[in-house]
Amino acid sequence: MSVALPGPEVGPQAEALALAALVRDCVTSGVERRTLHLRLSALPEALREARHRQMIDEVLAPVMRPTRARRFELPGGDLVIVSPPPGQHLEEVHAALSRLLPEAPDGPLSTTMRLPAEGARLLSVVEGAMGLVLRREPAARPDALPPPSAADLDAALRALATADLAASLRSHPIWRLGDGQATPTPLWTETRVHLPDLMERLLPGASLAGAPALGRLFRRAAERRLLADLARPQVARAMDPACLPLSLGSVMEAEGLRFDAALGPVGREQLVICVPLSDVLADPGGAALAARLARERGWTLGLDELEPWHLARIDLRALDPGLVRLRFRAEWLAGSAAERAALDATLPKDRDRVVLMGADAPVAIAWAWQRGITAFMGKVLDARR
Amino acid sequence: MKTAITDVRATLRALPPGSLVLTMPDLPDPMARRVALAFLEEAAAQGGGHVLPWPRGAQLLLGAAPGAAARASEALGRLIGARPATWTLPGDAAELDAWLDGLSPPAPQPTSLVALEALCAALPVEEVARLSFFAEGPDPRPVAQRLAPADLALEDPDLRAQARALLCRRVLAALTDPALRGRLPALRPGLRLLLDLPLAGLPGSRMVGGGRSGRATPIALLPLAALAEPRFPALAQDLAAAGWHTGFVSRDAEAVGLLAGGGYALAAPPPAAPPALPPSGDAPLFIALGRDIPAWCRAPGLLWEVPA
Repeated sequence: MSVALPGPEVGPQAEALALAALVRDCVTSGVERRTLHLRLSALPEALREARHRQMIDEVLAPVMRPTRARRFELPGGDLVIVSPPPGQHLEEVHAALSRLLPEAPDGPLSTTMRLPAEGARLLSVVEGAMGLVLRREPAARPDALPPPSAADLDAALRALATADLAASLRSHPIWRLGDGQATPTPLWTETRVHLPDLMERLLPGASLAGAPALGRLFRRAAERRLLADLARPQVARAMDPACLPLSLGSVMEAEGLRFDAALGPVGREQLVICVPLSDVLADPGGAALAARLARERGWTLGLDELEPWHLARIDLRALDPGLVRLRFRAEWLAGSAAERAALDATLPKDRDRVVLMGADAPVAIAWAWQRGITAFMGKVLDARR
Repeated sequence: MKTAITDVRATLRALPPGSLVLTMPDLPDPMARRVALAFLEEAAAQGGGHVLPWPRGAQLLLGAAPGAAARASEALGRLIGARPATWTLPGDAAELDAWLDGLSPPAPQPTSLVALEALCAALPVEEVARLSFFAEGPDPRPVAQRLAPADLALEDPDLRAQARALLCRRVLAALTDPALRGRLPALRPGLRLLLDLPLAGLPGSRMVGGGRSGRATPIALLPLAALAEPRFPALAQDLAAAGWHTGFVSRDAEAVGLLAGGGYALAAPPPAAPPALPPSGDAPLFIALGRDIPAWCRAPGLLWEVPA
């Protein structure tokens, strides 16, 4: 399957897209390539005149002619040469250019990389050039903040009962973008309470990360307010297709059930409620009841913020979620063929039920399309509308 | 809003002859109780009548329309496995009165974290932990013992999880303190140990498994939600390095269907039919909790709770 991202057909932007597609193909098919990245965008102004560029092109010429190497010019001026192995010419050019080019303070201007092993690294170069920088999660978040005292948490929970949540609500569209389509169509609007924001307001300097049960109590208190607002008849009846990430407890709270009643059959058909897996594991009986309620009432119960390692450890057949929301990780592009196959094996068979969150770069969409996933939430789609 | 018993009785007596009354006793699970209330309220909205709480633990739908009442009753049967009782007035009035009089008010629940912490801190060491025993296969003689935090009968699942965490910490503190250890229930020598742990796992590296191996290896029971934690693999590794098998504990029979992949024991109330259990080496496949143990649990490789 060839994956082409819609976009301009010529120019550096198109070349960057073509290079991203080539890297992805190497990563998924395991085909080996040698690459040379010239960070010409980092050259000092004095060395960016036409004659300097001519010099570089002369050094590059020998590598282009005898081999099947391809050259990509990226937005910003960087060059990437991709050559089949063994890529001896690339090494020679790399050595020649290293002598020719000056030292840059932030690392060498000429770098060689191997595909597929360093696919993720090269993709981040491409995406950096396109102005789309993949944010990588830090490996371990330092949670130095202490948990709040019981009295402080009680006070915060009381405050949430009457707090104005307007400033802490976030809405994001969820899109359908089929393979090869240029324009996404909206599926749902996600509305959520931004909990870090509320934590900062009500419990500054404290963290609930080490006490999941307390985190759920805080989240439920916030979501009760949201659901009470949504359950007002004039709000519930005017609701567009919605995706609500909620704590399992919130769904089954009096406010959640009142919202369900206020929606009516049409509103319920357009509603997806996604609960985190940890809530399901903390209360399997409650999750089973929520799944039965969803079927009885006609809304869809989904699972939120799933990671591939969750899917490998948990059997979801009994719960049968109508939707599964996965968060894209740049690491998925790297790794061995076996690791990538293991990841693919954990994905739900029914790909129509998968939403890829964190689709902030074209590579995420290409990754998803290769697996039949066409529902997305992320910046790269928001920008397309 | 508090409703007085005399007010409810007065409303009941004022209903016209032929009126239907649906009653739903307070269910032990607060989620099921709220679902029941929601469906009674919907029946009232669709077919007339109104819902009143009986102050000593029940919800009443007064003056229900037969169609709406039947729909709510069937839906609740499917959802929570319990249906409201239906009474026709005035014929059933005396019986309904007697039923209402027989209800007892629900036990008071802590409503704040301060109250919950106080409740957990006030328990004497002797009552912080509970010791139970397990047999394997058809022989009912115990081969294993579980030291678990006391069950405080809390309704809210999150308050319950927090109480478990607080009590687990007290049990661990008592186990590692020579002055307090003797006040915990006395462990029987020679029985495999199952020990409930908080989400954070073992306190430091102080508690090692005592060098027992194979089928005597002690089993650490973590809350099932630990499985979703990013740090779980590291936690399981630490436990293995300290000489423990990793297991999970849940109070719901539904937990059995959720665990995929082998390697971990699961302690939970057993479902009526035997599930497909992944192999788990020297750890038991399943640890059946509670008094109602179906026959399939008395098989080799499974532990089942026996009376002390």
